[in-house]
Amino acid sequence: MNGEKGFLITTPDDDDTVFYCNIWSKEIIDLAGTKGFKTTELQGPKATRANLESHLKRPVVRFVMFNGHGASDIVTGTVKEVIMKAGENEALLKGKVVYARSCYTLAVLGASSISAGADGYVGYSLPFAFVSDPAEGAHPLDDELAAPCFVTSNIIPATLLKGNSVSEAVKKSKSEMRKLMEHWETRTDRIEAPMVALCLNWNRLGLGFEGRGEVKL
Amino acid sequence: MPFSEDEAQITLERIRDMPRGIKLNLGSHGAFTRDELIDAINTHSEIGELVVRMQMAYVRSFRERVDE
Repeated sequence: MNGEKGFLITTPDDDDTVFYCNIWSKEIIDLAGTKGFKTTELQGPKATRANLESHLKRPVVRFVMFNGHGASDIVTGTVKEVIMKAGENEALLKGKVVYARSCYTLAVLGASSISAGADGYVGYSLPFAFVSDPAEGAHPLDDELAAPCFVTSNIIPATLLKGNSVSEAVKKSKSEMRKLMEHWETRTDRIEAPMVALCLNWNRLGLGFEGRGEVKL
Repeated sequence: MPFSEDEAQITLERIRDMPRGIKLNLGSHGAFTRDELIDAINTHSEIGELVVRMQMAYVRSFRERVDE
C-alpha cells in the first residue's frame, strides 16, 4: 500500500436534497486529491450497497464520507437504497473514519460502527437541515441561502483531510455555525435570514461524534 | 412530541415571513414550502412537530447567547 490512504465518498443525486450534497462535495473531492488521498466517488447510480461493500473491503480506504438520507440505523445511496445498516454491514467500517452527512445516524449507526471497530464516526443525531431557493438553486453553489449549512458541514471533512482530529473537526464546524448564525441573525437584506439561522442552530445541536476524539486520518 | 398553541404561534409567525418559493429542507423528511409548513403545524403532523422543535430550540439558543 506504500502508506497510501484512500477516501471513499458516496454522492447520490436523485432528489434535490442529495443533489445539493453531491454538488457541495466536489470541493471536498478536490481537496482530498491535493492532500494525496486516492479518491473513489460512488456517484449517482453507482452509490449502491454492492459497490460500497466492494470498495470498503479495500484496506487502503481510511476515510469514508456518506451523502445520503438516513435514519437512526441506516444510510441510503441511490434511489434510497439502504447501503449501510447497523447490525448488517457496519463491520466493513473497521479501522476507518466516517463522516455521514445524513439525518439521525449518529446515536445508533455511529455507535454501532464504533463497536464494530470503526476509528471515528462524525454525524448528526437530528435531521440535517438547510434552506434552499429553487430560483437561485439552478446550481446549488449559487444558492446563497443553502451555502451556510454546506460550508459549515464541509468543514468536517476538510479539517480531517488537513490532518486534524475528529474532535477538532467537530469543534471547528460548530464554531463556524455559531459565527454564521450571528451573521444571519443581523442581516436585514433577506427576509429568509432567520430561517438560515434556524437551520444552522439545528445542525449545530445535531452534530457530534462517536469514538475517540483524538483520532486523525 | 406534542407542542403547545403558544409554541405553534411563535413558529407560525416565523414561517409566515418565508417567501412562497423558498424551501426548508429537512433531509430524509423532504423539502417544504411555506404553505406546506403552515399546514403541517396547523394539523400537528410529524413535520409540524419537528419544525416547532427547531424553532423552540432556536429560541432557547438565542436566549442562552444573550445571557452569556
